[in-house]
Amino acid sequence: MSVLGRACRTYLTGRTGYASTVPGGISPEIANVGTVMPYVVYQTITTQPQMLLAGTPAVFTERVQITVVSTTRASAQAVVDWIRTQVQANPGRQTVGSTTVHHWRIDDAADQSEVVSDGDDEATRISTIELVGVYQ
Amino acid sequence: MAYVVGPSASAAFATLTNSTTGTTAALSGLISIAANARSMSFADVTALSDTTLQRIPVRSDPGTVQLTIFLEDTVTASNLWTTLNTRRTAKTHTRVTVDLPGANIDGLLIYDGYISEISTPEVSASDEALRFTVSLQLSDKDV
Repeated sequence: MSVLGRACRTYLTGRTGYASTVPGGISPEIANVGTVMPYVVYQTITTQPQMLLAGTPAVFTERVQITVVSTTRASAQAVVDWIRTQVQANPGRQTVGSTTVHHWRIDDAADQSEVVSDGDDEATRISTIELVGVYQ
Repeated sequence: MAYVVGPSASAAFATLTNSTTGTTAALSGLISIAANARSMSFADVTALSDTTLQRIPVRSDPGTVQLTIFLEDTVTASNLWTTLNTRRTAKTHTRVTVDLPGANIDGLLIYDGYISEISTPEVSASDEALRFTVSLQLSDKDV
C-alpha cells in the first residue's frame, strides 16, 4: 500500500475539478473493468526510511507511479496537467488524512499507448508521472 | 559470542559536577554517533648520541566525539538544538552516555566533556530531513 499515493488520492479528491477531470476516479494499483476513462491508478515504486539510531524511521521518502488512462492523448495530458497543478499548489508541509506530508513534487513523465485486447479497436492513451515525497 | 549492531542504541546527556551526574535527558532524534579517536602525544627525547629518534608517550588526548541529530519541530526555546547550544555557551560540563544494544557493554561509551561546536542544519531542496551536528571536546575536568 502506497501511503503517499493514498494521501495524494485523498488530497486530489478534495480539489476543485476532480470529478470532471478524473471521472473514472483514482484507485490503488488497478481499476475495475469498465471504469470510465480517464481514470488514474497509482502504485509504490520505492519507499526509503530515514532511520533514527533507535532503530525506527523518522520519515519516509516514497516514489509513487501515477498512471493516467484515457481514450485520447489530449485528455490524458489534461489529467496529468491537472494533477501536477494541484500538487504544485500545495508542495509543502500539510496533513492529509492521518499522514503528515512534508513535501511532494511531480518528477518524471512518460507517454505510451496500448491496444486493449478486448476486441475494441480503440487504443488507450497512457501517461505516467511519478510523485516523490517525504512523509511520516 | 554475540556481536553488536547500531540500530536500537540510544543516548542521553546530563550535567557533570565533581564527577556526579545531574538529571539525565534523552538525546531524541539521534541519527549517529561518530567514532572517537583517543590518542597519545609523544615527546622527543633523542640524545645527540642517539642514531635513532627516541620518543616517549607523555599525554593522552581524549579527543572529540560528534553526534548527528534530526532537528525536531518543537518550540525553539525548549528544543534540543537550543538546549545543547546553551550548554555550549554556558561551558557546561556534560556527560553523554550511550546505551548500546546488548547487556555487557553499556559502560563502554561514556563521554565527558564540553560542547565545542554545534551546527545549524543545512537547508536545501533535498528529501533529507534536516539534521545538525554537535561536537563534544572530551575532558574530565570541571571548569
